[in-house]
Amino acid sequence: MSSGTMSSGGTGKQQKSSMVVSQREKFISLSYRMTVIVIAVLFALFPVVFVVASAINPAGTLSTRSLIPQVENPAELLTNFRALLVDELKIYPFWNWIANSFVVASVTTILGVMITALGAYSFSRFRFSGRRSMLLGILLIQVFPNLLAMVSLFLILSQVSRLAIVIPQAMPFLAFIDWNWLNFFGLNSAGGLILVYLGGVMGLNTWLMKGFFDSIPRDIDESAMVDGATHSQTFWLLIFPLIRPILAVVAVLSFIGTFNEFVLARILLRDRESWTLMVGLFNFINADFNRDWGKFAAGALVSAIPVVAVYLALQEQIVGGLTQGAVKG
Amino acid sequence: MVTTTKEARSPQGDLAFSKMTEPRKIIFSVLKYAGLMVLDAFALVLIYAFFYDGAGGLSLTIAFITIMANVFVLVPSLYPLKWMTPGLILVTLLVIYPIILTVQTAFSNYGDGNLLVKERVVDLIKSRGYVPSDAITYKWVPFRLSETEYALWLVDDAGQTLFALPGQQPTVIDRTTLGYSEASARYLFNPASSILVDTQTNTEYDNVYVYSDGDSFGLWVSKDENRNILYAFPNLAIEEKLFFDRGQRLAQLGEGLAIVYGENNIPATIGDFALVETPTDQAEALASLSLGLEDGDQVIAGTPDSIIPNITGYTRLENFDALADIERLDYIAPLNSVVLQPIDLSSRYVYDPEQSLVNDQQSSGSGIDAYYDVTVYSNGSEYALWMIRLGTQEPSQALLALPNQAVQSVILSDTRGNIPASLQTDLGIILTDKNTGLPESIGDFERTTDLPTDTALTWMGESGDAIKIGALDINDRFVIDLEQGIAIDRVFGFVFNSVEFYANDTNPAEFALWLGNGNNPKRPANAQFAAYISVPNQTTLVNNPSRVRPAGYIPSTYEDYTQLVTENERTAGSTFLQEVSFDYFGEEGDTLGLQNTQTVGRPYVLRYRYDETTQTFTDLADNNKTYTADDECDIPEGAREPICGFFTPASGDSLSPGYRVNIGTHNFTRLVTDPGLRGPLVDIFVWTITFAALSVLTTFSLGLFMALILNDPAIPARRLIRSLLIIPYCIPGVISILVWQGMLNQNLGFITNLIFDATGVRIPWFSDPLWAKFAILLVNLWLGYPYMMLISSGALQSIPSEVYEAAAVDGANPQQRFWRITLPLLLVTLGPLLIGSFVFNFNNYILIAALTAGNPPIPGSPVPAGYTDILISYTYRLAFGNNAGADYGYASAITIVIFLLVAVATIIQYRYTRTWEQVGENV
Repeated sequence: MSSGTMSSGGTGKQQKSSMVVSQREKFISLSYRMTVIVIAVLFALFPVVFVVASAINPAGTLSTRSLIPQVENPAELLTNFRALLVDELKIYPFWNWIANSFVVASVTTILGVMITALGAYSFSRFRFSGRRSMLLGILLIQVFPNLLAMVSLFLILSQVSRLAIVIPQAMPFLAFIDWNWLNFFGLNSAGGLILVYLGGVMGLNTWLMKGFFDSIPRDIDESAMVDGATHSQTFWLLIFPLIRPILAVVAVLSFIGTFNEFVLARILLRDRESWTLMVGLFNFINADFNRDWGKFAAGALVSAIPVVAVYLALQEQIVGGLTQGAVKG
Repeated sequence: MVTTTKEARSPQGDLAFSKMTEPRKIIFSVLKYAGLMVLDAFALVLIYAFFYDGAGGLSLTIAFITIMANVFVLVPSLYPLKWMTPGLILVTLLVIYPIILTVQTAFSNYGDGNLLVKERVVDLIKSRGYVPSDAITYKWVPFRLSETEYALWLVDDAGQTLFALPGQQPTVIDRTTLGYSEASARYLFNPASSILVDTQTNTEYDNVYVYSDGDSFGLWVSKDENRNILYAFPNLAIEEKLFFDRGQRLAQLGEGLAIVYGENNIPATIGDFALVETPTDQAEALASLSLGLEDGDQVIAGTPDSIIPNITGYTRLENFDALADIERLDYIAPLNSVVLQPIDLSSRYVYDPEQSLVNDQQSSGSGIDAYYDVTVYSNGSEYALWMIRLGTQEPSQALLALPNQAVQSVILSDTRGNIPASLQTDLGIILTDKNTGLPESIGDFERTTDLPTDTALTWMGESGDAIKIGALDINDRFVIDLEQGIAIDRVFGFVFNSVEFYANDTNPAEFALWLGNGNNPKRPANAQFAAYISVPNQTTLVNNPSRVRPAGYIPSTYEDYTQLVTENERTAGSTFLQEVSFDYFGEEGDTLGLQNTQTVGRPYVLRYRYDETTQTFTDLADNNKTYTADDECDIPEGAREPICGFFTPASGDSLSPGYRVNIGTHNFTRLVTDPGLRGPLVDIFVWTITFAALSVLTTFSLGLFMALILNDPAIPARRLIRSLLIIPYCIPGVISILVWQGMLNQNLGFITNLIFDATGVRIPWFSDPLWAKFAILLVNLWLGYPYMMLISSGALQSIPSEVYEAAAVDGANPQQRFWRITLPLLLVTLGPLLIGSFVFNFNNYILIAALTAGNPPIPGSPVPAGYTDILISYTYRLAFGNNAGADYGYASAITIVIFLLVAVATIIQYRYTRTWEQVGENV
C-alpha cells in the first residue's frame, strides 16, 4: 500500500496534519492514484462495453470480432432490442419478466429493510437472555446452503398453493370466503417468492445494521429517554434518521441481491409468464449460446438499467455518510 | 425527572417527546388485542388446514410461530423480542423449518418413486380401479366443450355409437341423424362419370381406366400423372404402386396380369383384360361392380350422395312453379344476380358480338375468369374468332376458333418470352405485337370489323365445344335453367347440376338458393368449390358437401362439443382426462375406466382391497395377488441402496408409487462407502476452501484499495468513478457470468481471440484445470470487488475522525494509521460480512454452474466430477444431475454434512467477532 492511499484513510479534518506535504508530492500522488483508477475502470467496464457492443450489433452472434458494429442504417443498431422487446414477445414475454423482477425486488427490499432494522435495533440496544445465542443462531442459519433447502421450500409453497382448495374442504363453514388470494403466496407467484426472500434477509443484514447501531453512541438514546421518549420514539425520531445512510446501503444491496437472485426463483417460478428477468434470460441464452447472443446482450443491458438507476438515485445517501456532528450528539 | 407535557425541553431543540395519554393508551391496547385475535384466528385456520392436508410439520410450525408471536406481544418482559417478531416469524417458517425438514429428509428415502407419505400412497392405490374381463369395452375419442367440460365418443364392438357426458349414462347415437352418409366401402366408383372416390382421404380420381375380360371388370387409376397408380382387379387386394420402378415401367400387376402398354403409358391390356374405350356405355354392367378383398380396400359401384341441406326458416320447393314469372333474383356477392333462363350445354361458348365478349361456360372451375375479349377475322365468307382472356396484358395464350374445327388453345410466347415460330409455320398466324397479342392475319383470315351474325357462324366444333351467339351481361354471374335443373357460374365457368330453391316461411316471395354439383360428370378433381347456399343477405360456400364419409367416420362436432384436433388440444385433453380419470364419465357405480390408449371399459371397479391390520393390498384383477408393506429397510447383498417403502409381492414388481419411510443413517453411511463420492471428495474439498478464501481475499483487497483511493476528496469526479466501478455489481450475477463465459469462450470468445491475436497463444480457459480455476477467480474478483468497495467505503465513513486526530497528535505515520486504526476498526464492522462472503463463496453454486459447470472433468472418477467443482455443485450433480432421478434424501444428507463443515468454520471465526464486538462497543 502506498502512502497516497494511506493518507486517504482519514477525512477532511486530517488535512491539517498533511500540510507539510509539498504541492509536487501531492501532484505525483494524485496522478499515481488516477492511473490506478483508470486501470480499475477499464477492468470494470470492459465486459460492459462488450455487452453494449454485442447488443447493438445486428449480426447478433458471439463470434463477431469487432466491437464496432458495421451498419448502414442507424436503426439496425436496435435490431436485437426490437426482437426482444417487440417482435418475439410470444416466445419471450420480456415485459412480464421485467415487471415481475421489479415487484419482487422492491417489496422484498422495503419490507426486508424494515424488519431487519427493527431486529438490529433490538440486538444493539437491549440486553436480554439468549441475545448472544440468537445472534450466533442467525449467523449459523445463514450458513445453511439454501440451494438444497429448495426441496423443502418448494414443498412448503406447494402446500400453501393447496390452501385455497383445502380450507373450504376442511372447514365448510368458511367456504363462503374466497380463499384464492392465498395462491398469491404459493408456488408460481411473486408473493411466495418474496416470503422466501424475506426469510433469508434477517441473517447478514441484521449483523451489518447492528454494527452500525452499535457505532451510534448510546448517549443519544439515553438523553432522549431522559426527556421522556419511548423506545419507538427514540428509534423513529432519533436513530432512524442517523442510520438512514446505512439503510440505503442495505436497501441497495437487498434490491440488487433480490433482483439478481436466480436459483430460488428458477425453482419456485414455473410458468414462463411468472419468471423473473434472471430466470428468463438464463433460459433464453441456454437455448443457443452463439445464435442468440445479441438478443441476450440486449436483454442483459435492459436488465441492468433499473439496478443502476436505483443505485444512482440512492448514491448520495450511501456515500454521503453520517455527518460527523450528528454522531457526536 | 420525566416530563409529561408536550412542551418538554430537549437538547435537540425542536424534538419533543410525549407520553401517551390514558384514553389513547386504551384505544391502542384494544386495537392491539383485536389485531392479535384476527391473526390468531387466521393462524388457527391455517393450522387446521395444513393438518387436514397431511402437512403435520407445517401445521406444528405455524402453531409454534403463533404461540411465539402471542407471547412476545403479550409478555412485557419480552419487550426486546417484540421488535424482532416479524423477522423471527419469517426465519422460523422459511429458514428454520426448511432446515428441520431437510434433516428429516436426510434420514428418509424421499426421492422420485417415494414422494408421498404412506397414508397418501394407500389412498392412491385404493382409489385405483380396473375393468373386469367381462366388461363392455368401447373405442373412445375425446370431445370438448370448454377447458373443463369433456365428453367421449364411444364405439362398442358391435359398431354401436354412444356419447358419454360427465356423470350421466352414455347415450346411444343414431348415426343416420349425423348429417352425412357413410360409405360401405373405402372406394366408390361412379360408372356414370368414371370417377373414383376414396372416402378415407376424401380424394377423387377422374383418370380411371376400366378394363374388361368379358364378364368382370378391373380398374387402373393414374394418380398424379402416372407416377403412382392404384389398381383394382378381381381376386387381388387393391394396391397402390409406383408406376416406374428403377426407371422401368410396371410390367405386371399380379399373377397372370402382364401389362401391355398402349398410348400415353396407359395399358392396352392387363392379362385377359382389355381397355374399355367408353366405360359410360357399360354403366349398367358396372353398376354391380364390387372389387377388393377386405372392407378397408373395397371398391363398389356407387355415387356419392348429393346432400341437399335444410335451411332454417325456409321450406324447400318441390317444384319451381313459384319461380315461373321470375327472370332475375338478387343475392349478395359472390352470387350477385342470378338470371333464370334456358342453358344450352351443347354449346360451350357464348359469343356476344355487341360486346366482343365470349364466355366459356364450362371451363370447369379452373379458378380463372372465363370471359374472353374477342377479335374477329374473316376470309370474306367465313369467320375466325381470336379470344384473349379479359384484362390480360401481354397474353401468353389465346383461344382460336376456326371454321369446322374445335376451339384450340394457342401459345403466344415460349419459355424465353419470344413469339414461337410454329405460330406462323403451323397455323399461318402472323403475330408481331406481343403487347396486344393480336395477329395481323390468321392464314387467309384478315382482321375485320364486320361482325358475324348467328347464321354466319358456320363452324361447329365437337358437341359441347360449340360457339353460340347470345347476349351476355357481365353482372349476371349465375344462370339457372329451371327446366334442366342446372346452373352455370359464368365467371368461373362452372356447371352445377343440383339446384334447389327454398321459400321463406314468413315471406314466400323471398327465395333461398342451393347450388351443388353432386354428380357432375364433368366435375374435375381440383374443383375449387362445390356448392353455395344463399339466403338473401347471406351466402355460404360449402366445401365438398356431397362427400361420402368413410365407414366409422367421427364428426368434428357433435352437440356443441368439438373433437380434439390440434396437438395442443390433445395434450390439454389427455392431461385433463388423466387428472379427473375416466370414472368422470358415466353414472355413479357404472362409470368408465381406461383400459389402454384406445379403449375404455364399463363398469369400472376398484382393483385393490386394503387390509388395515396386515397392511396388505389384494389385487382383484390378478388372481388376488397380495402386496405387503415393506417398511423395514435392509440392504440386499451387492445393492447400493436399501429397497423399502413399497408394497411388495412375494415375487414380481412392487406397486408404484412407493412411500416415504425412515431409513436411518443410511444416506450418511453411503457418503463414506460410496466409491464415487469418496474418490474426488478430498480434492474438491481443498479447492472449495481455497476458492472461497482466495475469493474473499482478492475481492476485499481490491474493494478496500479502491475505497481508500476514492475516499480522498482531491480525486476529481469521485461520484462518477464510483458509479462506474460499481457497475459490475449492478449487473445481475447470472448474466455477468454468462457474459464472461462468452468472452472467454475458447473458440469464439472475444478475450480469447484478443490474446491470441496479440501473443499467438490460445488460452484453454475451460479445458485446462489451472486456467479454469484462474478464470473462476478472475470472474469472481470482477463480480465481488464492488460489493467490498461499497461496504468498505460505508464503514470508512463511520470511523470517527477524532481517532485519527488523536493518532496524528501521537505522531503515527500513514502506514501505522492504516494497520493499527483503519483496518482493525473496519474489521469490527465488516468482519461478519467477510465471513458471510466466505460462506457465500463456499456455496457459490451459480458461479460454478454457469461459468464452468464444474468442468474440466476429473478423469477416472466413477461419478462425474470436475476440477472446478465445489462441494455444493458436486452435491447437486450427485443428487439431481444423474440419470437415476432425484434423490432428495441423499442430497439432504450431503447438505447437512456441508452445513456442519461450514458451521464449524463459522463458530471458530465467531470467537473473533465476539472480541471485535467488544472493541466496537468501547469506541
